[in-house]
Amino acid sequence: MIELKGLSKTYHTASGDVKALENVDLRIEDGDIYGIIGLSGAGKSTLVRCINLLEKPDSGEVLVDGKELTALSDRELRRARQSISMIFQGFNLLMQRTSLDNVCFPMELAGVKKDAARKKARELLELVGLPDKAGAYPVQLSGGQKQRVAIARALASDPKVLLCDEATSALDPQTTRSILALLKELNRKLGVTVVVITHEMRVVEQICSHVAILDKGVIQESGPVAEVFANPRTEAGRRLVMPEDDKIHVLPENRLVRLVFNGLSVVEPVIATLARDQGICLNIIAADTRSIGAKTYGSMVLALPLDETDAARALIYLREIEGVTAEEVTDYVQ
Amino acid sequence: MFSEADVKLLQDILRSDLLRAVGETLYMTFLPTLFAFLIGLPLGVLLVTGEEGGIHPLPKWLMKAVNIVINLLRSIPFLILVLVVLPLTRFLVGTTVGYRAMTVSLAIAAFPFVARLVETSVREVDQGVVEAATAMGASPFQIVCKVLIPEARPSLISNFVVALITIFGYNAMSGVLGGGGIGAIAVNYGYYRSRPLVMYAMVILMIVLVQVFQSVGNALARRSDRRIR
Repeated sequence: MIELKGLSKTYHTASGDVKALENVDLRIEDGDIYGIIGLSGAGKSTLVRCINLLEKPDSGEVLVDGKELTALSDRELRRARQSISMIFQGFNLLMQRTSLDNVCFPMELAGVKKDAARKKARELLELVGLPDKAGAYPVQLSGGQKQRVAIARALASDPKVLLCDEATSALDPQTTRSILALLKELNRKLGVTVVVITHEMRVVEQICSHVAILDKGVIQESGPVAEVFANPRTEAGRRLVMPEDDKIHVLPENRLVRLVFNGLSVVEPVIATLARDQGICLNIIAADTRSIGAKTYGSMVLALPLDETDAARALIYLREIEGVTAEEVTDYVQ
Repeated sequence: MFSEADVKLLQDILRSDLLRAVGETLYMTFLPTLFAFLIGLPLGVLLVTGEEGGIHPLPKWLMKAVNIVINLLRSIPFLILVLVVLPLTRFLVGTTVGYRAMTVSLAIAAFPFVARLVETSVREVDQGVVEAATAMGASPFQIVCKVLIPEARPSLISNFVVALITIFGYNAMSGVLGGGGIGAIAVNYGYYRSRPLVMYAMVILMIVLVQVFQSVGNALARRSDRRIR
């Protein structure tokens, strides 16, 4: 379990003080895949670097498995770090070593015998899907392959925690999905707790069980992904979940209704059903929905028919669907 | 253009002294470079690791002092530095003339330069890799031995050649100060005895040697660099 208590960190720069973290409390249970999401400059990198003390907080406690890291000596901290692995946006592989030797690196540090280390490194390369790249140097690998080597290296010390600092931000969408799938698989197979730092909603959606929204160095809200994304309670949360909500410049003459999806089953074709059963066609003006665990979350803005009776019937119909709230929008002018 | 006597002298020198002179020159080039790296490598690494925000920060005053001493030594012209370290040379090798004595002087003259070269090589190593090693629980010593130096290896080899050629240049000057090698032949015959032909021949020899050092060095640096596909 990772517990952060009252974590604060301020950077003193030439242009003044920057508060990167302010009184952050966070609790990550064993086996979670915990997403920390925020826009750039929100302090999320600082936050994740505080978990292995790459960054020393000004105040507060960092407890990993009940051990207070800020109280450890240098030597004890180095030991503790061996069970907290980290992967990075830039992969950070040793460029002058082969994949195999990169994976061996943490074991070398820990004094594991060379033969045993090489054997384990081969197994790990197989686990991440690169059994044939043992002899390749990083320069010969693609971005996704480099990150796989980095993940194998991170696992070499049998960590309890894997910190991912924007680990997929330098990868294309397809590679991102495959790396995230790998992380999810490792979490399930090895039970390693994964902490994911990202600015991308889709990363959190794809793998996280829990999420914390960080803005201006403060945790705005946190909880299970479905809860937080369905009903963001804070301004920062809404901005992340419904980023395009108020960017429409054309106002149709029709009355508008906003449909908020609170976990409707993805197989329910609401608008098509309305058209078929009631013969009322709605125009989708804006939509930002996403599927999380076979449920739909997000919102949609629909234009009601010009005919008043049809409009009223459509409203009644929409209001009766479970898992959806419909409200008429009157302030949609931009 | 040159008299027969000139040509005859050159032939004599080539026959009797050349091999010994080239041997002395190589000795006075490689040995001081090695010694200079022996001191300059740890010092150069220290300049990076010991600074504020480095992997093992040292007291600010100490880093400042080290930097000042290096700059001070580097600002003394070689010829004068050799004179300054004469007592030390005498203490170490028992004499102040000849190529052995010059080796000590050269090493002392070159190590601050080498320290700066090593510093730039080590600074080129990606900070992210150092951070990754720190996150894995590597000690500062492990980071130096397993990350900084191996990752900087190609650049260190290139800089070794830079130092080698600089020291090669220094030891031609040492001819003036009673050193040995082909520099001494060039100075003694070409300058003191007005035999330019001998000097030109020695200069050509030096040019060839420098070309060889550089080519071999480049090849080694390239071959050792795994960043090149």
